[in-house]
Amino acid sequence: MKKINFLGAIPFLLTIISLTPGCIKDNCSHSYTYQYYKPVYKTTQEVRANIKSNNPQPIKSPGKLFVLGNYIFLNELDKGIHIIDNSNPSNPINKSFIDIPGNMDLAVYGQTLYADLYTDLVALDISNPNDVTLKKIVENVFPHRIYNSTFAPDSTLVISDWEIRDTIMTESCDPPAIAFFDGIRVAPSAFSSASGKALSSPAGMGGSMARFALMNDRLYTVTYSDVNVFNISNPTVPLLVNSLSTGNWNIETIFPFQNKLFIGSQSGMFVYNASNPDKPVQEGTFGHVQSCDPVIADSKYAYVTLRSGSVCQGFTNELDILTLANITSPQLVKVYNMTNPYGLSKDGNLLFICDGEDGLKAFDATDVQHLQPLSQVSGITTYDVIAFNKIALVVTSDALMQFDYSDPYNLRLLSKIQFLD
Amino acid sequence: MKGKIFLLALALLFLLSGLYAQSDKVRFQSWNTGGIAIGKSGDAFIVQTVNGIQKDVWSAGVGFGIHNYYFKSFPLFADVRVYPFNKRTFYGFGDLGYNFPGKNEPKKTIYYESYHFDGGVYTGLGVGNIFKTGGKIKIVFEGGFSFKQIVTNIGTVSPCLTGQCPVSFSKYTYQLGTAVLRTGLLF
Repeated sequence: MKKINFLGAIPFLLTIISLTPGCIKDNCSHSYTYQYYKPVYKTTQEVRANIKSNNPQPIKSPGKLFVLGNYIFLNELDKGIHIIDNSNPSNPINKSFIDIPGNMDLAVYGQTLYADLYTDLVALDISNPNDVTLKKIVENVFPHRIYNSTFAPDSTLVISDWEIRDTIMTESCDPPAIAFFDGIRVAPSAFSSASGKALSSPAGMGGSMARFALMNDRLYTVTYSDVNVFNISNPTVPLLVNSLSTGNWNIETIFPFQNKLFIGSQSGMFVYNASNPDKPVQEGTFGHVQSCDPVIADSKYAYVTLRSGSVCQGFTNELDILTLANITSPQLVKVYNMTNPYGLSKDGNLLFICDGEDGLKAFDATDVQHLQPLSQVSGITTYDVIAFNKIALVVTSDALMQFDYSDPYNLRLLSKIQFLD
Repeated sequence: MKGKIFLLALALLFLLSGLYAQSDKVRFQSWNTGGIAIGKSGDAFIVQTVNGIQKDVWSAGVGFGIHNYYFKSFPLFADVRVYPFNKRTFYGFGDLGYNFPGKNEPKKTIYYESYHFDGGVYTGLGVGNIFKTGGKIKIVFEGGFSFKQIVTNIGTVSPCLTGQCPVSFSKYTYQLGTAVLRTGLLF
């Protein structure tokens, strides 16, 4: 008689159970944390009444920096502009804040400051920075701010702020059904080792933003795919004189240089001839430089930093120097390896590079084929720099710092305005 | 799924307890098989080796394999086998262990800028038959079920205007059940 081990029957039974169709399957679940941004609305009248010098606000999400005389104008992304009295660079004072909801960029021309307020352009008299006054609003000159497709803001009101909360979601890996929300779900920024803090606004998450440049009594702005031209011969009364389509998408930056406009997208740079200031005409492109790549230029060369980790998905970290002998087709002359470079600035032959976690680097650029390193400020993560009149203003991961570069071999810290965490 | 894993663990405990109830000689065994795993997303090549000891109607050992279904992975597991009949040619087996991820990329339907794979649990169940060849080496045929878990952590860069653009992470957890057919050699 066959001896049967009944305990051994258990795996057979389990095998039979396991081979049922319910077990032969692929399951996938997707879990993530996101930040939910719910808008806080105000009426247009309330917003416009508040575009003036208000009480100073702490700096949380700095954007573009503009220096005019003894004052620093620092954009707070999507919120407005800080006015900082820099009469004494060793002791800058955060004097006031101009509330401009939706503001992403600014430009200063004489005593007039231009800023975007969502779809509108505002012109402000800053002759007295302690008492800024609204002079003119040009309405509907920028495309409506585009958020993700599941959020449609109330078009009768203005978003003045956002309520933010973290939410953890687990769902099937199959694309979820489209649903509309009264706010925006945004991938969290809290995991960034550099910023380490949440964004105060979802602006810039695929939205339409204005970018400003000044040249020849004209204010040029780019938004997503278009270039707007404003005549600012009368600075406090900007006039929209032209709006032209570039025929390209994801336009993000504009840089004026010698009657040319360099317009950057995520796929390349477009060169426009602005000899006729009101009618810039495209005359060249070059794909090596993208909108993620900060660029400056002097009379002979363009200096561009390329970095990995940006939305342009580059893989290199370097400083490229291009000759502008043929301005519509710049040629690469030299490449210098960097760690993770961002903004840069030049004063005479001194070149300053913000090299991410490697800090601020100063070079002698007399001979572009042989840049000579002069000094380095380590221990800070640097993103942007403006070097002017022996003072370098540097935007770092957590502060606005000022360095004296009278002796370029020994950069001396003058002051530091800490950002709010 | 948790319930099924619990049942499996219980089964293995019963099997292991039987191993010590016998008085037969202990000898070394090496099971080396290759075959295919068939699931909802197609089929893939699998191969494994299990080395251990046999005593009477039970054998236990440690297995290591290559499992290419959906994502490439390397399961490492404890293996127990039992011969329910005295002839000891027909057997059942159960495996429990950990599935190490191989070199993979996320699926094309997922947008990512960086990724990292982690492993997960691995289990297997099945039956097999030994065909004697007259020598010390025997041929085996096996069929059954395998389950493996693998996790992909995806990083995406959120657009930003200044500073280093923030990276956000999400996790995709894959639980993959397949039918398996293998053949190989027993030493």
